Amino acid sequence: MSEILMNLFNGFVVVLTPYHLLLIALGGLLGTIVGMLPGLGPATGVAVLLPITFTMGPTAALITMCGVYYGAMFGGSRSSILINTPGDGAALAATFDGYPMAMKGKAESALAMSAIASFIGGLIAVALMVLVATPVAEFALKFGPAEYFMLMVAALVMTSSLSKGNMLKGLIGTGIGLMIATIGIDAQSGTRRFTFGVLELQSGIDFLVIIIAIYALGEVFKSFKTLKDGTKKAQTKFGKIWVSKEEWKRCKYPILRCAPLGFIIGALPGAGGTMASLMAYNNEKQIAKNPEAFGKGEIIGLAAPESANNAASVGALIPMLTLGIPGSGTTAVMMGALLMLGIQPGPLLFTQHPDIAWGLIASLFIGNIMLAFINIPLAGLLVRVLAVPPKVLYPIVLALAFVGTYAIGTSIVDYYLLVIFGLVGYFMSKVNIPTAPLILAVIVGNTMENSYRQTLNISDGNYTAFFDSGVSIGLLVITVISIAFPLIKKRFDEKIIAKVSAE
Amino acid sequence: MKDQIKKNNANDSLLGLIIFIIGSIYLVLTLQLKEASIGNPVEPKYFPFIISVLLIVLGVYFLLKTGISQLKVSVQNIKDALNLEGDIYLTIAITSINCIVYALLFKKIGYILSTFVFLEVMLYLTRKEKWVSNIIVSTLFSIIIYFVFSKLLGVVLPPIPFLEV
Repeated sequence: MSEILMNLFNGFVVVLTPYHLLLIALGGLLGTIVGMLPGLGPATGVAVLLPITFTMGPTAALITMCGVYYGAMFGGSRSSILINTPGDGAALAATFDGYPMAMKGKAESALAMSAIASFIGGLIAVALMVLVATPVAEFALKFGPAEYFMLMVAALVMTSSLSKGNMLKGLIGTGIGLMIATIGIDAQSGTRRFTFGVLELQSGIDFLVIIIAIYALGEVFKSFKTLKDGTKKAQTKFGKIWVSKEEWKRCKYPILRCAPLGFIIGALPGAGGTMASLMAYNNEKQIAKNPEAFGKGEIIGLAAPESANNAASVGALIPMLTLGIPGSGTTAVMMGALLMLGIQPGPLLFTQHPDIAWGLIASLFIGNIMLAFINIPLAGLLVRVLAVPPKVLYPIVLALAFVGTYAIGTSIVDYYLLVIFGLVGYFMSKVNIPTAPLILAVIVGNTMENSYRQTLNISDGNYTAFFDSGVSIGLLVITVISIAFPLIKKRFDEKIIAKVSAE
Repeated sequence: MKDQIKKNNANDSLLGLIIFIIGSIYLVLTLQLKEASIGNPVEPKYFPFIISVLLIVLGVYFLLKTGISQLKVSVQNIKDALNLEGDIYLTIAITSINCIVYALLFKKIGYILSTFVFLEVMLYLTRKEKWVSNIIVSTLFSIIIYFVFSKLLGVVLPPIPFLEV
C-alpha cells in the first residue's frame, strides 16, 4: 500500500510542473471545444486531437490527453446545460435537469454544480482506483492463454449485452470487429489473409483508423441532420458562477452516493458513463422526497449523474490499464494513445511501468481539478465557442480527422478506410447496432486469436483446455450471466409494464 | 411509436440478409485462404471460420425472426427515408466523394491546396451564403495546420509540388 501511495506521489511530482500544467490546460481547452459540439464527446476529442501529442514524449503526451479527456467531458455537460444538446451519451442525463435550470435563469448554479459534482465524483473514483488497480493487475498476471481467451470472450459478450440496443445486435458488431481484426498477415504462420492484394493491408488495419472513422466521420455524418434543423442560441452572459449554501447541502449526499456507483458501473466493460449517469439519476429520483421535481430543474438531478459520470470515466480505466481490455469507446481511444506511445496496457504495466500507470492516474486527478477551476470562472468565455457555427466546426473536425490519420500511418489507403468505416459507423447507428463492441473486437481480435491458438496448441487440440482452471470457469459463468441478463431484464420490464397497466 | 417499432423490425430482416451475405462471403474467402507453410496448415482458418459462422447464424436469426416477407417492407422503408431525408443522404454522399477526391489529390497537389479544396467544398455544402468567410476559414486552416504539423509536430505533410512548401 505504501508503495502504491509512493508511486502516486511520484506521479504527482511529475505532473505538477508548470510545463505539464500548461499542457493540461491547453488539452483541456481544446477538448472542451470538441466536447461542446453536439454529438462529439471525449472519444472523438481524444481521437482527433491525438496527433498533437506525437512528438511530445510519453509523459507529456499522456498528460495532454488526460486534459483533452476531461475537457471533452466538461464541454459535453456545458452544451447539455446551455443548449440541451449533449456532447455524447454520458452527458445526456445532464440535460434532464440542467437545461430546465438554465431556462429558469439558474445557469450559473447549474454550471458550477456540474463542475463541483464532477470534481468530487472523480476524486472519490481515483481514491477507489488506488485501492483496486494493483490487486486486479496482480490477479491478472496469473492468467494463461486459456484464461485470456475466456476473459476476452466475457468482455466482448458483456459489452454486447450492456451496450444500448439489443445483445444480438451487439454481437453483430463484435463479429464485424473481429472480422476486421483478421485482415493482414497472420503473425503466427505468415499467411496473408483478406488483403485482396493491397500492399498496405498486409500489416492489418490500425484500430485507430477505425476509431477515428466511427467517432469522427460517423458522428459528423450523423450531425448533418441536426445541422439542417439549426442550433439553439446559448446564453453567454452570466452572473457569479457558484452554488448557494442551500444547494450544496442538498446535493452533498447524492454526489457522495453516486460516485462509488458510477465507479463500479464504469469498470464493467460496455456499461460506461451513459449507463452510470442514467442509473444515478433514476436512483436519486426514486429515493427523493420530491420525485416530481426531477426533470423540471431539480439540482440533485444534475449533481447525481455528473458525479457518477465522472467516477465511471475513472472506473472504466481499470479494465483498460490492468487487463488491456477497454470497455468503452473513450477508453479504447485512450488505449490507442498509449499504444501509439509504445506503452502496452495490461497487468505488466503496473509492475514494469508503475510510473506511467500512476502518472496517468495522477494526471487524471490534476486534470479534473484544473478543468473544474478553468470551467467555473471561465465558463462565460468558453461557451462563446457554442456561438461559432457548427457548420464551420464540423468540416474542421473532418479535416483534423484526416490529418491525424495521415500522421499515424502516412498512408493514403487509410483515407479510403476512413470513408468506408465512417459510413459503416453511420449505418450501424441507423439500425441500432452499438459501436463499442465493434471497436473492442478490433482491438482485442488479434490477441484473442493468438490465445485461442496457443491454448489449442498446448492442449493438442483438446477444447476442454479452455475450462481447466477456476478462473476460466468463473469467466464462463460471467459470460453466461451476461447473455442471460438482457433476457431476465426483459422479463422484469414486462412484469413492471403488466403491473402498471393493471393499475 | 408503434409504427417506429414496426419499421425497425422490418428493417431487421434486411439487416439479417446483409449480415448473412457478409458472413457467407467471409466464409468463402476463409475457405480459400492459402494453407500455412509452417505449423498446422489449416490453423490460420480456425478463427475466421468461427467468426463467419457467428455472423451467418446471427444473419439467419434476424432474417427469420422478422420473416423474409418483411424484406419488401424494409425496402419500401428505405425508399420512404430517401424521399423524406433525401437531402441528408445527398450531403453524406457528397461528403464521402469529397473525402475520396481529397485522398486522390492529397499527395499530387500537396496538403495545403488539397485541404483548401476539401474544406471549400464542405463549407459550400453547408453554408453557401457566407462564401467570403468560407474562403478565409479554408485558407487559414490549411496553412496553419500545415505549419503546425510539419514545423512544430514533426509530421511531414506533402508539400505543394514545385514550390516545396
